[in-house]
Amino acid sequence: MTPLPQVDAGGIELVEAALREADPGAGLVALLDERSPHLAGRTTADAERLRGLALAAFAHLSETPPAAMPFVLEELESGRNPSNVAAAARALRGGGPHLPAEAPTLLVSAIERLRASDDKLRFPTGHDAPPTALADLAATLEILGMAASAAAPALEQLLATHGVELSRDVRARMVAALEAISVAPGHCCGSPVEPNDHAEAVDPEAVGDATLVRALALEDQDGSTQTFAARFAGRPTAVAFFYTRCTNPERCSLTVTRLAGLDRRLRAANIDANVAGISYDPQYDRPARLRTYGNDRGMAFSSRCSLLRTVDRFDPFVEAFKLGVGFGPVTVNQHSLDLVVLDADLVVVRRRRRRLWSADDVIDELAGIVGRSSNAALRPPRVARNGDHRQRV
Amino acid sequence: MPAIDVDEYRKAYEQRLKKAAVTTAEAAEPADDDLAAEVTNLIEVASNRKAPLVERVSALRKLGGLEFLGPRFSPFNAVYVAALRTLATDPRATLRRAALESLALRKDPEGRELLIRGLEKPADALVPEAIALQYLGHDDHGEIVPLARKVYRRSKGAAREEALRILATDPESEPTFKRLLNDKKEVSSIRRLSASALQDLNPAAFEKAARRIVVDDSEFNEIRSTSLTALSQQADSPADSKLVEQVEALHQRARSPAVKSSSARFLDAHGADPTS
Repeated sequence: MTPLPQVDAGGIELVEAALREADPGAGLVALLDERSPHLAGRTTADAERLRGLALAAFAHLSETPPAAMPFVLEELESGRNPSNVAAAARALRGGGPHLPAEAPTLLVSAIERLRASDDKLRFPTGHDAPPTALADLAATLEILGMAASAAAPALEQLLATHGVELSRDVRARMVAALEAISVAPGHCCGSPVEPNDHAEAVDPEAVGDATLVRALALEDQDGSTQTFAARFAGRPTAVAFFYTRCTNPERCSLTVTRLAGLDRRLRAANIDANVAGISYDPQYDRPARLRTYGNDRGMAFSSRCSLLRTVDRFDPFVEAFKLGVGFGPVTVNQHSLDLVVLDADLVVVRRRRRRLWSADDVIDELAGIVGRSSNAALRPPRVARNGDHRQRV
Repeated sequence: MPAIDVDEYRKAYEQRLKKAAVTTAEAAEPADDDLAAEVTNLIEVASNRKAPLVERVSALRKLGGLEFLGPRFSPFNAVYVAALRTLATDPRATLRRAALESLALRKDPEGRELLIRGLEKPADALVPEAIALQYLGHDDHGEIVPLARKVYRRSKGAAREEALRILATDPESEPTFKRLLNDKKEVSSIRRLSASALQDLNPAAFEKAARRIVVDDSEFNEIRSTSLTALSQQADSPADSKLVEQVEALHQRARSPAVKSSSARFLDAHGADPTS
């Protein structure tokens, strides 16, 4: 019987083609975009495999481009495929001056999160590559050396608390990594790479424009239908995107749980704002399913807190908010975390993408909008400035 | 006879129980150093194609049991999964099936690919079609739906039924389930499955079909009973008085215990008293 190929032949060709481009970094980043035409129609397994190959390929470049870092950090923070997370970590090896300060700690938290699901690497590696994904993550920490020193306490804690849950090989590599990242300055060979506070690249054009969806109908968990504008206008809104068939508990399931927590805190603080989740998968996520999913995650449904599906097509939302989502033959094949904050006039004031958002920050923003709204009558009208990302509906 | 000191007796008894519990626990759970050796040995036995089948199956079963140790088994996850993937293509069918089931429960991508390949090219099938679909059904991400449609169209018996189970959450399969539910020539298990699927996909369409089935005296009792039970669960939507009257009359004349009890349940759910 023919064994399965170790790597996806079609995916390898795409990655190799990207590496041959004039700007290989840009070519690889394009393959990571969930809306890439190369991902459209692929199954989730294929899309994930291509993602892993692309992430691992950054290690072949002299430097990983800043545009890749949001994808890398996202994978480290919430990825569940051990091989892909290891591939993302490898991209940090070429981080150079662009190594984000939080990356080493995210590396350690990735080992902790995946400690029960170690698996082989599914991208091309050298002969001396570590045998498993967790071992490879530890190897990356070791390679980063002093640049990962901020992660030393977390790494020590992980070894102390969960060391017995790791294989001998992974533990040994983590100990080696701890030694490498704890070496005092001056003892290391060559110039250590200092971590950088470089923030993830943000494309201002990607903030969003709710004009395209203002008149579109949304159905909630109770089967009640309203337009986007009718549902949300008049008060600030935090809206995230999800789908019930998501297989990564660190993404959609966690998002809805956190929306429920956000709503509770807003009500407790008497901040009149909307909290909503809109499904990427409206044909499947019908009202009864939305209700069960939300109930299971602590949502207290009300006129201010809902889970929604589009009644017609979902595409306009992808365009309106430049959502990071791709679709396979049946449903979503890849998606990023996406949360949008709108003001009472449905102007997009803030966009959070790829990373776990801070409830405190979102609450402050919503409270700030409410505060500004209540004082609006006392202030002169705003004049749009260059670089102002606000787009009025 | 000297009097027994009850308190002392109780203390001694509790100590004996405690000692027995510790001994049992020690016997049930190997120390971690031993665990590594045991896992290695079991994987070797399970993977050894020259070993007797019964020993290999037993080794695989024991490994499955050790998985329940949870965090203590985590260090061996990678080697265990690698062994399962190898066993998934073993010449012995029993081992292939057990390995593929374990991989499917873990939603392992390589295990899934092997099962999918077997459905796409039956000559490469490692397990029977129905089993492959059952295992693939553990992952409800829905991507197996197009393949399930193909299997449904080409197969009969268990494979067809398993394909329908997977299609039960596919909105595009609603017309199929409507047709199957209404087809009296269809086997009972398929019709019951269709009732459940249609109720989930389109409660209004299901209710329409169920109302027709319930009052059709030429219908099979099993299907009438299933429809009544499902209509009872839709008590949020009030039944019209005509349907309630029809079910009351059905309840009166029904001789099938299943129809009798499901009609009683329906009447109770809709606020009507069954009169016998």
